[in-house]
Amino acid sequence: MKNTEVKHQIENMLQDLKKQDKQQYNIVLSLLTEVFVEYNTGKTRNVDKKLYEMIDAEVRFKTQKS
Amino acid sequence: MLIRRIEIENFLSYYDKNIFEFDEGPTIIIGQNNTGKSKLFDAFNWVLYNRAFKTEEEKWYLTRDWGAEIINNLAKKESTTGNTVECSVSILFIDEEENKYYLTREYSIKKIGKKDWDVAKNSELSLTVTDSITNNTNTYYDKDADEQLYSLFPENLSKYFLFQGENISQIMSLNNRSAFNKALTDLSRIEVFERAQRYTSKVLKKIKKEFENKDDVDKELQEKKKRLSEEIDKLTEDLAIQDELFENTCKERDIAKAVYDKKNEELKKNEECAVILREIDYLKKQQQSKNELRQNLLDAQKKDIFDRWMYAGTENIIKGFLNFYKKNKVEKKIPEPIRQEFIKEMLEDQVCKVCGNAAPKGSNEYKKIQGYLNDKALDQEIELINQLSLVADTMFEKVCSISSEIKTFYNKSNSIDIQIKDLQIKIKAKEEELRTIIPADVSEDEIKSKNFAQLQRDRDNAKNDCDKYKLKMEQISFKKEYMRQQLHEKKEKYDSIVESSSNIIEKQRFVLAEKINSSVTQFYTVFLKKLISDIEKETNTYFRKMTEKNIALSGQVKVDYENREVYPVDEAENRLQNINQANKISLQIAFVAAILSVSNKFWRTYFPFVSDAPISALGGNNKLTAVETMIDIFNQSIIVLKDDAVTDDPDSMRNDLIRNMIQNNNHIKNAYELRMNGETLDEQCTNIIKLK
Repeated sequence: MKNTEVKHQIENMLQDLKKQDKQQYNIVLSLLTEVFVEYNTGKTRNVDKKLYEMIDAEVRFKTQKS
Repeated sequence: MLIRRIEIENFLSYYDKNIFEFDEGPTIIIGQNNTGKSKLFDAFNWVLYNRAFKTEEEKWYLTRDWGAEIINNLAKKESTTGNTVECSVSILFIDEEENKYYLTREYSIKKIGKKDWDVAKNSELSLTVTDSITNNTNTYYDKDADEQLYSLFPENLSKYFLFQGENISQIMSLNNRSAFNKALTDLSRIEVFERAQRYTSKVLKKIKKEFENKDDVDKELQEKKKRLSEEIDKLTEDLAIQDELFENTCKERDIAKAVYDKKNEELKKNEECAVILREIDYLKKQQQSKNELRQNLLDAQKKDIFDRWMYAGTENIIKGFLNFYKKNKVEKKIPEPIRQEFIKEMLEDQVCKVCGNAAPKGSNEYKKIQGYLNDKALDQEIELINQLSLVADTMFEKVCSISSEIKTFYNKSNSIDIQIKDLQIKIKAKEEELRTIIPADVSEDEIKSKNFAQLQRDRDNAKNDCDKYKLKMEQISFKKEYMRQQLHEKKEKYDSIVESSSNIIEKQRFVLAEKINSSVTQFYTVFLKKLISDIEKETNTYFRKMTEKNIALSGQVKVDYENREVYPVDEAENRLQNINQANKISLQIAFVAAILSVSNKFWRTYFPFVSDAPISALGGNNKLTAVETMIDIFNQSIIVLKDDAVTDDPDSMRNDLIRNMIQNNNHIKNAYELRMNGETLDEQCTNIIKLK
């Protein structure tokens, strides 16, 4: 399975979320893509750490902006 | 993924270099027993996963356990001391983006004595990848090659696309919860979403803790936050305990169900045997009664027939006597008998009533008539002749009827013989039927002595256990639902507290993490629901196709995710009980094929379906339709089938049917027949004939 193909499929599945909440969409898309790569290669990718950082960065960015 | 070619050299039954070419669509390979069919399947397994199946032990072995045995006997026989013999299998395949992969596994041994070999510990693997766009090539060896293979042909999926039909226990195990879960998780890659869910809840937990640990300015709010959070945590923990309890009860129920199935199967088997034995007894009694009937018939007819046989051949003599008598009578050489009363009557009436002339008293005629008066001697003589004639007539009639009576006896006796033979055939068929249910070493007396009441009690106890666990599961479900409601209420309260918190970053982080967690959970639920619905739809299509000639089956297949089971239901959605083994296997194949196909369509990755004897356990009616269905389902299928050309069993798939299918099905571009060459065991090797 090629990662580009997988990303394309996940994007398709997340179309509704994209329309509803772009902020969430970006994080969920990155999360699922990371998990898929981890699943496909059998190598740990510290996904939880990355997810935490994505949420934190998003919140800080939003807070700074406001 | 599309396999273009497999090259097999000196591997098991394959001597020297052998090549099979494949295209998109189906390839059929047929061969009788012991011609190298399973060894071809082994070649796929060996090149991909370093393993081959030992049929006699029903186990997979790695190369190091096979040792010198994995190399073809003839190749070993032809080698000389000090020389090395090598075996290798290579496959050429392409992925969905047309990148080419050439995978080779090699293994070598060195001859050090007449029958002694110096064997290498491991096989060597190499994978050359050619990029379809740049045409660049990269070659990976051993561990690196294995790593590359992991994403192309994951080993955990191998039992579904490298489908070993003869290992029936593996297929049937899909009936239990864990195997159902495994098939679904492995094939659909739903694990990706489960994993994502685990990560989001882990991160949410961490963020929640940070939010709670940071004191709010409002002390009361902080207090409330802490208390509610503890309550939520406790409820969540309790719910998780209940979940675990539910899962464990499910497992216990599965074990109890397996025991029940086994006991029920045992009882049914014994009952079936008892019925057959009763039928055999009945048939044997009938046979005995027919034997007696034949004996009685012979006894009754024997004396009569033997008596009559004594007259056999006298027919012509008697016929001659009668002809002689009749001739003399016609020629009037035998006088007609005249009764004395009739003579007296003629004298009184004075007329000859024989010739009609008048015979007045005193005339010559009168005197002539008078001459016959009192001539009793003549009367008696004629009477005697007549009696003799009558006896001769009767004798002739009886002698003539001898042959027809013997014929009647023969017919009766023959009809009884036919009935006895028919009964013998029926008894033999029943005895064979009995042996298909019980092993040859179990005697009929052993079956007759079975305690059915005990077997029934055991079965009923196992059923009670199942019901007990079912009830427990219902109670847990009820409890879980109640706890979920409570949790929901508490979470709502908690959310209102979160709103009021003054710790902006922690609060927003928590809100976002919760949203993401909820989105992923919802996403997982929706995906799972759609997945199950798609799988159910395709399982139904495939199962219907495979069993279309089976009029006994109607209705739908239910993929019951709640209970992790797949079973047929009738039109009123009631579960169908007692479906036969062949249909059970068809159902398993249809289910696996459906998950594989749905998953393939979703992820746009197509595994080739390589299968060894996928239909060996199916009944006659399902066989051809099962093959045709597999051909339709997969983008590429390589199906190895047993060729039972010499089998008389009517339930076996007829050789001409499969050969007709090979010739007439336009989708089949490649077909091979395998034969075994060589007289002795160490000379035998597979010979490949291209049929199409």
